[in-house]
Amino acid sequence: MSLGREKEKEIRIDDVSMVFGRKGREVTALSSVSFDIYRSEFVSLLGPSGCGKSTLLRLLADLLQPTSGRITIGEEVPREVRLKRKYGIVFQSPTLFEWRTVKDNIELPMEVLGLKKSEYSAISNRLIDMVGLTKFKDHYPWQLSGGMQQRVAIARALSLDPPILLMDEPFSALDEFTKEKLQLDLLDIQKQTNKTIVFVTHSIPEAVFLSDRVVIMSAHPGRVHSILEMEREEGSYEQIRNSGRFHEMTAKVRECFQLSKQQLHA
Amino acid sequence: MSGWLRKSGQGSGVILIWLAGVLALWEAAAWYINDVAHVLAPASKLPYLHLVLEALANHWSTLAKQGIITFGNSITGFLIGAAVGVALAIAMSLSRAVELTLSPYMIASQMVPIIGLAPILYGIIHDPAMSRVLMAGYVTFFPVAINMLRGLKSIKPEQEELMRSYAASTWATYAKLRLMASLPGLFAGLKLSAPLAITASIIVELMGAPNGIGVLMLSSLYYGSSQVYMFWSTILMSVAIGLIWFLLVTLAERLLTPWQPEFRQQGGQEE
Repeated sequence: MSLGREKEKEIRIDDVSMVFGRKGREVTALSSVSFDIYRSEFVSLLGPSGCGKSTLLRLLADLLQPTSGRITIGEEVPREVRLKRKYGIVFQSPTLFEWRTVKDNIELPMEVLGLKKSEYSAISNRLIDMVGLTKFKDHYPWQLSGGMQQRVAIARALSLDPPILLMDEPFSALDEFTKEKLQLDLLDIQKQTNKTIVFVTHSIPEAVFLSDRVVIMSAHPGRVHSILEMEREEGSYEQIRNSGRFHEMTAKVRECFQLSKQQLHA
Repeated sequence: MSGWLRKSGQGSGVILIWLAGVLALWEAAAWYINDVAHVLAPASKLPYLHLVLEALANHWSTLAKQGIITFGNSITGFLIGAAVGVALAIAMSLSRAVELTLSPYMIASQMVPIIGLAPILYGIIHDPAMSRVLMAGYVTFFPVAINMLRGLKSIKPEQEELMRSYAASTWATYAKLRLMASLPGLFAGLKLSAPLAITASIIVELMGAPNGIGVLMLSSLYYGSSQVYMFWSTILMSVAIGLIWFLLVTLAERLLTPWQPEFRQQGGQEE
C-alpha cells in the first residue's frame, strides 16, 4: 500500500477554512487546515463530532465551498473534479432511491451520465457480484438489511470507476458484525482497484484498522491536530485486531486525542 | 404476488361483510320508519332499499346516460386540474419567488365556496359541459398542487448531494429524483380531489344545467314523494361514480408506486 505514496500527491488541502452562518453568528467549522493525500492512499479523518471532518469531505466533493484556502485534486479544483465525475461518494445513510431495485440504484450514476443501457448493464452486474448481492439484484432497498443497503451504496459509488472514493462514516450505523465484514470488503476493493479513499469516522479502531494514515482532528474550531502513519499488517481480521501492533497504534492515536483535548481546555 | 392477492382478498372480504352489514341496517331502519313508527311521508325520510334498487333498475338507462355525462365532464376537469396542479407544484419547487407569489392566490381561491362560484361561472360561460369541466378542475388543482409540492420537497439533503456529485442537470434531478419522490404526494392529492371533482360537477348541474345526474336529482326532488325512489337512485349513482373514480386512482397509485410502504408484502432481509 505504501508503494506509490512518495510519488504522487493526489489531493492538496492548503490553508482551508470554513465558516458557517451569517455575520455576528459565525461558526468556524474548519480553521486553516492543510495536508496532502497521496494517490491510492487510504486516509481516515478521525475526530469527535464538531471537528469538521464531514465538512472537509464535502469541500473535497464540491458540495460546499471553502470560505478561504485552496483545494487541488490532481491539477484541478474540486468543481472540475465533480463535473468530470472523478469521485464517488458514500454517506452514513445508504441514500438509495426506494423506487429503484439494487441494479437500478447502482446504474443511476451511469444513467445520469447518459450511457446506454447496453453499455452499463455489464458493469453493474460485475459490481453486484463484487459486493456479493448477485441474488438480490432485483430486490428493492426495503427488502435489504442495512449492511446490504450500504453495499449497494458502495457499488454505486464505484460504478463510474472514479479514482477517488469519499466516505462519510459509512459504517457507523451498522452493527459490529456487519461493520467488520464491510471493513474487510472495503480493503479488498481498495486492493483490487487502487482507489484513493478518504474515510470519515469517529471510531479509533476503525481508523487504525483501515488506514495508511490517520488525520486526527480536534473540535471548536475544527483543526488538524496530528497525522499518524499506520503500519498495515497482513493477516485475518482477528490476527490484525489482536496483534500487538494494532494495540500499539490504537493507543498512540488515543494519546493524540487526549493531547488535542488538553490543548482545547488549556 | 400471491401475498398481494391474499392480502387484497382479505381486504375485499372485509369490505363485503361491512357492505352487507350496512345494507341490512338500512333495510331494518327503513322497516322501523315505514311500518312501525308511522311517521309522515316515511319514504322521503328513508325508503326501503329494495324499492330504491327497483327504481334504479327501472330507470337504469336514463341514470346511466346522465351519469356518464356527469362522469365524463368531471373526469376531463379532474385531469386538466391535476395537470395544472402538477405544473404549479413544479414551478413552485423550482423557484421560491414563484411559490411566495402564487401561494396567497391559491389559498384565496379555495376560500371561495364552490356553491357560490358555480352559478357565477355558469352565468358567464353558459355552457353546461364547460362549466362542469372548469368546476371539477377548480376543486382538483389545489389539493394536487399542495400535496405534490410537499412531495417534491420531501427529498433528503443527501439524495440531492448525491445527484450533485453526479453533476446531474436540474432536468435529470427532476426526472430521476424529485418527480419520483413526489409521486406519493401527487396520489394523495388525486385521491383527495377525485370525489370532490364529481361533487363539483353535480353542483353545477343543480344550479341549472340541461343534463347530468344532478339535474335528475333536482327534478326528482321537485316531484316530491312520487319520485322519492328516483331521488335515492341518483344519490346511489353519484356515490357509485365517486367510488369508481377513487378506486381507479388508487389502482393507478398501486401500479405506479409499488415501492410505497403500504404496498409492500414482506419484511426486511437478513444478511
